[in-house]
Amino acid sequence: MKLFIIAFKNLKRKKTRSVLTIGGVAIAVAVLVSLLGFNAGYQIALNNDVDKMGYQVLVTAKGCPYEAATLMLKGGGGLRFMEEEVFDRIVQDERIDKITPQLINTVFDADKDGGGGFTMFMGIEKSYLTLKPWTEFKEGEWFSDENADEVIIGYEAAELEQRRAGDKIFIPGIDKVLTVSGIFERTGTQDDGVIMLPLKTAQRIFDLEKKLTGIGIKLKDMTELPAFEEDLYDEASIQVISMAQVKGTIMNLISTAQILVTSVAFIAIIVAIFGVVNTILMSVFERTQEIGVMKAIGASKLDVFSLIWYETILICGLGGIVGSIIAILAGNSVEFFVKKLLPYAPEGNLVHITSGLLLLSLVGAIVLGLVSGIYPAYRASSMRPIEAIRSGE
Amino acid sequence: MSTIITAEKLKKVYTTEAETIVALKEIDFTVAEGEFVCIMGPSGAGKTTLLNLIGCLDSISGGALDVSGYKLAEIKERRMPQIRRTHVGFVFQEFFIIPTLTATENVELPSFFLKDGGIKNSREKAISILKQVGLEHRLNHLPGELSGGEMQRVAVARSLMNSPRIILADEPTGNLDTKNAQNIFSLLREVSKDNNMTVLVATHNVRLGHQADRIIHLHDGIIDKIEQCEAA
Repeated sequence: MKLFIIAFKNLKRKKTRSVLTIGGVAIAVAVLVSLLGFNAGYQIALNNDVDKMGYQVLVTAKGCPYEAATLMLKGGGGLRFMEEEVFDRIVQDERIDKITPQLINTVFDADKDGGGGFTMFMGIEKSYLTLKPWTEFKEGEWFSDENADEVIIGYEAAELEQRRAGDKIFIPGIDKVLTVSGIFERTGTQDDGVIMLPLKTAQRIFDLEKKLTGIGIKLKDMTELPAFEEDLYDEASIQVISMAQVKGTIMNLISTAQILVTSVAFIAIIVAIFGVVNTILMSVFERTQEIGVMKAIGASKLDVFSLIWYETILICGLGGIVGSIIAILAGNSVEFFVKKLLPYAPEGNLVHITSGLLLLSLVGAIVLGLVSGIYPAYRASSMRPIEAIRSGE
Repeated sequence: MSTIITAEKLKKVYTTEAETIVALKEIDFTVAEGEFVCIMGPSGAGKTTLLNLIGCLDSISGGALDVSGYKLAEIKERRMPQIRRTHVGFVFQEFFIIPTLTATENVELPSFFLKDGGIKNSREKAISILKQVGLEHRLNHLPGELSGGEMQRVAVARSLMNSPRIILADEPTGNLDTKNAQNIFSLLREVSKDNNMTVLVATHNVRLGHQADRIIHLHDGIIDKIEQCEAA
């Protein structure tokens, strides 16, 4: 403990150098914590997003299954259409617990967000609510009938459009005015930004009679999925996508980016290690005589080794603490940039920094200190006292 | 008085690529416990070499050297720190006190290296020694706030911390003015007397040297003569 205090006082000798080295370690730790936090956060958010779709299986028109699933998840145009009769055939299957048809269409609104943007409309049936039982109305109610010129607006879309139940809403390009029958409570999913209307109304006003973009299905028993998929294999126009597969594929895609960022973090750690080794080694060389005197007054090799090791542990430990604080404070900024950069980012917090992660990073920083300190500590402890004392003459 | 240091045909040779230097040429002498001995001689005479050998800072090339019951010629280098920390105290010409530690912490430092729990109440002991050397008003001062004489007093206090049997002082007054030099010398003399410690001081200063019990005159690695001082 007493040697630890001496080590701490030694660091104060060259404050700027110590602070810069601690800063280097802090940056490496901050990058690592943010990365690991993002890894955990993204997975949680993706699971949440997929789970809140309410179905385990998605049937879409033939095409790239992951593009289709991603479009369903994040919303957007470009979905292919399939015939509604497919739904009529599938719905007979006894293995199905719950099922809902969907028709998604996007409309360009020149006035949106100042510079124009797409608004997503989704045609749904009442079965939609059975797959998403957590959905509640903030105000208003379900459509008056399945052909009504009415919409239910997601929480965020309602805020953006400044609409309340009973208000009118205009669909640009189609010149159609619909009545807001209800507004959903916030769900924390992409549904919050969607304007929903009865399936038949959507098919009619978007001129997509008897068309669907997807069918959400919840099976009674998920182990039936391979057989269910096999049975639908003969349907030439459709494909069956398991949401578990979608999760895995998106995580695989993200992991490619993560490898890149991990490499950057790894380089930052290597640079930090060299920085610490350089700082401590310089400090050892500057104190050669002092180390010699310590040995002359009784310090053993282990005492000197421990003293120098404590200094590196202190630098790295402090760097770990500062880095963790930076990661916590910068979490929102990281999330902002990640959401801008990634083609698909789930709703919710993408950077999930837990106390366990912070503890792990601190332990990691200390291990970094232990590794970085070995060479300078060895150099210091190997000095012969008489030569060390004479070095200043 | 019992003998605490015995040198028999003690030899030290330094070998470099260019030359071989014989720093001590088979010298013989003894020092009694509690004795105050000065080692005098010109530069290169072997004064520092002799202190380094007695203080277990360097290895012996030949002969025998017994210090405080340890036959140093037979002891492995890894055991030397243990002898240094328990039997020997060092005072250097350049003080060598740690600039980031206060006077009290500097004095306490050698006790940190003691094994088996060290000294109980080491802080109190350090303060007590500092009072003994007249630095009770400088306990929490950093070295940068002390004069040269005060820094050397701290160094003397540090050498006393682990209650060694021998204090080795290599030119302890070399960086001090005449008044401070005399003060430090008197302090070492007093410490020797009060604690029955053996003190060996290497010095060029003839006036101070003659205040010792004995003077060992070294010249070119050989003992010219051993002089008994009148002051003793």
